[in-house]
Amino acid sequence: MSGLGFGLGLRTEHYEAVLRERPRVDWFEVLTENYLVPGGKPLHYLDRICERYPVVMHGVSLSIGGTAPLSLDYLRAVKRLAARIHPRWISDHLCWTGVDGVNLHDLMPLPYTEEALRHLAARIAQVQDFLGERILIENVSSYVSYATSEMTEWQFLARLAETADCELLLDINNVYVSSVNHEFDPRAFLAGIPVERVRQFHLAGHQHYGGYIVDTHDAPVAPAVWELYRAAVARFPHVATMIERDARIPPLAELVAELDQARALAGAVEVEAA
Amino acid sequence: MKLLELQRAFQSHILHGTGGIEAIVPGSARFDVATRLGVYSGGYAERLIEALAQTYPAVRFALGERTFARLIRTLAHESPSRHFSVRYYGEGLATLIAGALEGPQGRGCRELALWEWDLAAAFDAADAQTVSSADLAAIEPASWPALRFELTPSLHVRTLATNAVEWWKAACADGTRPRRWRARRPAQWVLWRSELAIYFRKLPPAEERMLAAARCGARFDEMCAELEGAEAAPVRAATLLHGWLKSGWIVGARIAP
Repeated sequence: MSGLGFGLGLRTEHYEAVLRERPRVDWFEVLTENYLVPGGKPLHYLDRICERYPVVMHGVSLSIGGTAPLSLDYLRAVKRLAARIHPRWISDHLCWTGVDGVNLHDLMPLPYTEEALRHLAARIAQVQDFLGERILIENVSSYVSYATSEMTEWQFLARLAETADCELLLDINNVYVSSVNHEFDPRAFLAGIPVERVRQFHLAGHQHYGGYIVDTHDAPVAPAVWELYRAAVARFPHVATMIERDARIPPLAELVAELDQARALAGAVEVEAA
Repeated sequence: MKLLELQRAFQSHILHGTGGIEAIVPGSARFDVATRLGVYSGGYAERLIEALAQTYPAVRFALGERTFARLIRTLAHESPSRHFSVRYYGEGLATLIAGALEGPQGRGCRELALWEWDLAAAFDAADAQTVSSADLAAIEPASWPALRFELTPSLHVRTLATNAVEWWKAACADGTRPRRWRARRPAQWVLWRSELAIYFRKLPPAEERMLAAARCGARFDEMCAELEGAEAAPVRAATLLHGWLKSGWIVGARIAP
């Protein structure tokens, strides 16, 4: 296991505060695409923060489930950034982002079919060969499922991790959001994921819209997600945990306090287990 | 439905509202199919509106939230992104404005969009080590006519014929709207980044010509030829060059073969 501890998503609003206050955060997750630029302020701050904290890279544009050939330009840019900042690992999502050259800039859900499984496993292998390391694949929040699916999302993820020999980033909030939207048991999801493949957790907030939930990342982690996190820590001990906030971003201290909550909860679960 | 067909049907639903995908998406009484698909189709444009509001805050200020959102929705559906980063999406907004809005507001907002696109490009342009006065002073006087200069990658020149910069300043300051859009005599503006700060100013005509020559890779003697008065030109050019050095524009100087 990584032993990386408890991290936060690095956001531009916090650049100065991170450098000035040196918050009690074990590591930062950086959004890969924000730094695939030639120079200027984003890379200036990233370099300085990387001198002080371990980082991991988290992308949104790999489109591992896409049907167009993988973008070599994108992969080269990711590799260049990795060579610059030496992330502990690189992750992206179990999704497709567009077809026929279009990028919808969204994490579109996949059908869980044998065809998709073979397709993704081959593409993950290509990416891992190109980058020279195993990547982490994250489960997304979804609002549609497909009648053509042949297995559950967790069965798909488990088989994908084994077939492609990749690792997993388990987003606990996404598990919860999808479980409500698709009416499945989120604990069954956790139980179906192989323990040794999970390297990172995400925690985030969401919003209720009557009969469904949207993964908005604009609020503190919800109580139901904390409960699910407790179950996740019990099943997958010592997995690096981070909190994502992408809208209504509060002062850094508020996120650090929320991260301390995760730290305390995980600590308590580990004590119980011991 | 094969993966490729499914993705085409779903994308077409998002971009053009076409049917097909709903046939394989199960719904429930609590969360019906139309609402499920609406999370994606509605979220698509909203996400781009939010992203482009970061690139074009002054255009949004000038147009108002509603018109800005309407234009971005049109852009999102007519010219979807083909970039791996949303940072590089939205270059077509100026052209779209020119086609959608008439009169002084259309011309002004188009220029404002071009201005903000240049600002974004300068913001994250490649870093480059600047040349110092001492570096240039070390070059033999006899070599000066054959010198070519490399300019910082963040430097952009834009011709503006409206008070777009006035609107941009208003958006950055207290949000007090200028009284109206005005036509101006066309003038070139230069903007660039030095360290992490963005600077800009209007270019006087002589400097405009000399800078245009430098950007085309002209030699120093050719740059001088752009200035009036053959005898005074080298001195005037050296003065301008000194200003460029102080502004951090020059990142390379080499003697042309």
